[in-house]
Amino acid sequence: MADMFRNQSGEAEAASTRFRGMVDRVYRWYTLWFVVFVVALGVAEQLGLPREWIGFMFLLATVAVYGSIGILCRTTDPAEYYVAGRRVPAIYNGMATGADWMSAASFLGLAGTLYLTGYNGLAFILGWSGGFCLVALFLAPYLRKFGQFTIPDFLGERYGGDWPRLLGIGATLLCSFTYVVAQIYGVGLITSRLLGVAFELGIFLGLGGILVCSFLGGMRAVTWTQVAQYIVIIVAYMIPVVWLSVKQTGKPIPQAIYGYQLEKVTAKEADLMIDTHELSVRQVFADRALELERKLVDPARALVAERAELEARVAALRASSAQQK
Amino acid sequence: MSQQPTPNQRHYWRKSLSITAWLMLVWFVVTFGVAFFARDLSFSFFGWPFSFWVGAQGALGVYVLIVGVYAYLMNRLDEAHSLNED
Repeated sequence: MADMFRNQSGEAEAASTRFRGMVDRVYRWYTLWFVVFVVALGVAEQLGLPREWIGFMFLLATVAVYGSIGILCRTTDPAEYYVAGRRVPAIYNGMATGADWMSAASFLGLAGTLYLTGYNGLAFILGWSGGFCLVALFLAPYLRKFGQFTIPDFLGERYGGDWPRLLGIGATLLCSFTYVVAQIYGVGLITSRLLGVAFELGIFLGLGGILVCSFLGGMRAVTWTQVAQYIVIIVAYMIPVVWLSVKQTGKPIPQAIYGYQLEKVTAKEADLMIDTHELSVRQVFADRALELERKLVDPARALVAERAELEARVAALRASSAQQK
Repeated sequence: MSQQPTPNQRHYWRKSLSITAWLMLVWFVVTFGVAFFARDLSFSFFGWPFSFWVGAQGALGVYVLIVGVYAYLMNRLDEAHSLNED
């Protein structure tokens, strides 16, 4: 009996190693083609391909990749649909989660949030990264052990009754609503920017793509497209900052040096505050503001005076052009 | 479940609770401890005030470590009690 079990688990292990090897191969090819694609577009840009075309091709390629992953991964098996068959290798699951972490919301929103609110903005980072710890320690292991698909299902099974289940549904809706609003807004922005369509239409185009992909393949399609996204995103995040860091300091590890660089920027800012040219520019703007404020005391009179002045100028110009003829 | 847990299962559960509790303590100190004493912890670190650096980078590293350590310890615990899933 025990022997049989060992054989079975050995077989399962061999199958999972085979699966892992296959996935590795697929994503190596994918990464290679991604690099080839980017280099080809770079060459095309040097040869004079217009910017709109490049954006359009990026969007088309992305949609084609996600669409084909969605169609290849379509499934009707509930275990595949909800939890990707519970056989996604840990590293790939990590990549998929990472792609979620650095999504449209963090890329577009977080830099601005931190710039605007400083230390308080870090609450967002701490919140949604620290939340992963809570999920990993309190929910994920038990969800897996109980063999349920969703958190409300798990809560209902574990604690019994409808109240825990309702609570779970409420929490899920609350979290995903906030998240989805930001994501959809990002999708709309990106689609409208790259395709030149209206923002509202961009939202529906993006939503349509997401729905087709995730309805057909469920969690399986979502996980594998997220891995594909992760590869694109990590390259797109890292290259500019590493480049900047090498250009400015000669060191390729931005995480270690950006604090010092920002210190320099802060010092420069203080210098700028007392720079004579900066001060004279400020004086010009202050004078203009003062002038406008004076006009605003009696807008009607100021308007009449301005109109008279401009009419006089038009008349003078007419007269001078008539003389030239 | 109606049947009594075996001593093996009881020991397993106690161990996994203590792993979770210790890691959550680390999590709490890094997240709320540092944020609460942010003003006092503002010595320079990598060019940042320390509390800011923890929020921007340090805490995230610790989170990854917490998840990694948890997975490692629980895998070992599963094996020791021959309760591994696969």
